[in-house]
Amino acid sequence: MLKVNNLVANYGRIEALHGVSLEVGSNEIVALIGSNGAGKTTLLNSISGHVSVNGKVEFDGEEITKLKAHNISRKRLLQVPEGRHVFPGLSVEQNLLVGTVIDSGIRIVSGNYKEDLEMIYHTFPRLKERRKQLAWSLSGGEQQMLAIGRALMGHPKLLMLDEPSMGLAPIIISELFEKIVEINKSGTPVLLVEQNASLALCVSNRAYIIERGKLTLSGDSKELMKDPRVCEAYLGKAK
Amino acid sequence: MNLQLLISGTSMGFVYGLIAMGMVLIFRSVGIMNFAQGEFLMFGGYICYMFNRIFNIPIGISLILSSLIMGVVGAIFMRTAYWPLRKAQSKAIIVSAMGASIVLKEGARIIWGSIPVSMDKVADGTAKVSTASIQWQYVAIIVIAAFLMALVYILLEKTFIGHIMQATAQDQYMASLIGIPVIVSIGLTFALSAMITGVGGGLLAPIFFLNNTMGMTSGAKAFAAIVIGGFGSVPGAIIGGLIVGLVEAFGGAYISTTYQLVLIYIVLVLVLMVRPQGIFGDRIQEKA
Repeated sequence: MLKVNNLVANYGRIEALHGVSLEVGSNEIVALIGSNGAGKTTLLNSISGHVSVNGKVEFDGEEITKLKAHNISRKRLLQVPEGRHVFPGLSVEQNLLVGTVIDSGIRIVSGNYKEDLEMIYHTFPRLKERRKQLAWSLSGGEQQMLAIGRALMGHPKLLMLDEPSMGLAPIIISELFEKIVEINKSGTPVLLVEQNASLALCVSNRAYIIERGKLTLSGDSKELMKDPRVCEAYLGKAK
Repeated sequence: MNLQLLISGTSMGFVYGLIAMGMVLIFRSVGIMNFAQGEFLMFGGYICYMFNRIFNIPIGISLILSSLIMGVVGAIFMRTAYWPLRKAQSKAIIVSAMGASIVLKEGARIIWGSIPVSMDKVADGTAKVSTASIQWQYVAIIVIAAFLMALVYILLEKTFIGHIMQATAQDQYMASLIGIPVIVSIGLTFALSAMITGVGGGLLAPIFFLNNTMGMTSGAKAFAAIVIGGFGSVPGAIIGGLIVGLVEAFGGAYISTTYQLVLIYIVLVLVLMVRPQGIFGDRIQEKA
């Protein structure tokens, strides 16, 4: 589905990614694990066209490296950024509907999206209760659900989630990750960026470990969990 | 209460409200106070004059045509004065807007000359209400401006395109992540802003004559209206505009026409002493 080949990203004169290659197949959850400042978000922003890069990004058989950010989103490669970024002054339902802009662009009326809305409300019932509320008034967990729901309204072919667990209570996190697995089971591949390594390894099929702008390890999540290097650095268990 | 002053003050207030609303739309969209907004009023007025007096098109149609052309002017303004500098410091954009205002002012002088011009009224004649005589044009200004304000409200709050524009104003990064072409969305906001302000020029011209320097003073009054009403608030811009219009009318009649602008700023200072955030201002400046 997504193939990243030897990606180099620069912020001014500082190179933030030094040749990263990764792949996400259809129906997988792939985790990208790394500590603060390792380059996880930069990698996602490079794929979605917000950081200028060298290298090659291929999505759904097409090269998208040099496309503008909104045109990459239009290929239905959708990123839910770190910090959720709901539109604070729009209601929950308006936030969700804005997610359909990739269907036929800017138009006067959104069109009929009852079924899609119902589907989102079925996955996240709490959004239904709050559908008339302005998004800023939601709790952190609800905002995260809204951000994911809004991306789902665009029927993503690949969903990139950046730190969905950030700042959430443990009980909300487990609820949220169940939903992420559910979304994946219904046919959407997920590229999951997380600092919470054990959680990410638990739900993913495969994982990459990123350190200082380079991928250092990759493989099956179950096996990485047992890898002593991973245990020591990310899971806090010395062997 | 002097009915005549009340009506003329209110109608001027609505015109200032149109300018202020246009400024607020741009401010909420890109976080920049557009100091060329008054020039949109002047330029829109001249375009309307051109249709009405040079091409002899009826005033109603002239207003609509000038508004449409101002939409294009607004989009060009955005593309040339704002977009290339969007990642620069806001100071740079403010200076470039001031530069654009000079271009508009001098452009108008080159195209239409510097002799003040007038054009047809939307509604002619005066109404007599007991001792007061009220120009119908003032009433027309109130009706048309209120109609435009309602239209903008409906567009922004009730339509999909309005939600897209709001979403872009609230979070450009996220807007592009869900596939909104940010340049189009911001361009539409600038166009809308220039359209409503431009109509104000066409409405004012039959009363005051158009000249190419009128943008500066009306822009300054609209800015006062925004601060009084609460920075960034659309209802605040309208209420602030009305306060400025009424202070100007009554102050001019009962105190001094020379000190009209001073009176406006005295009211501004008084409001800020009581409510530093303005009437409708939030304590937290969220771009929502």
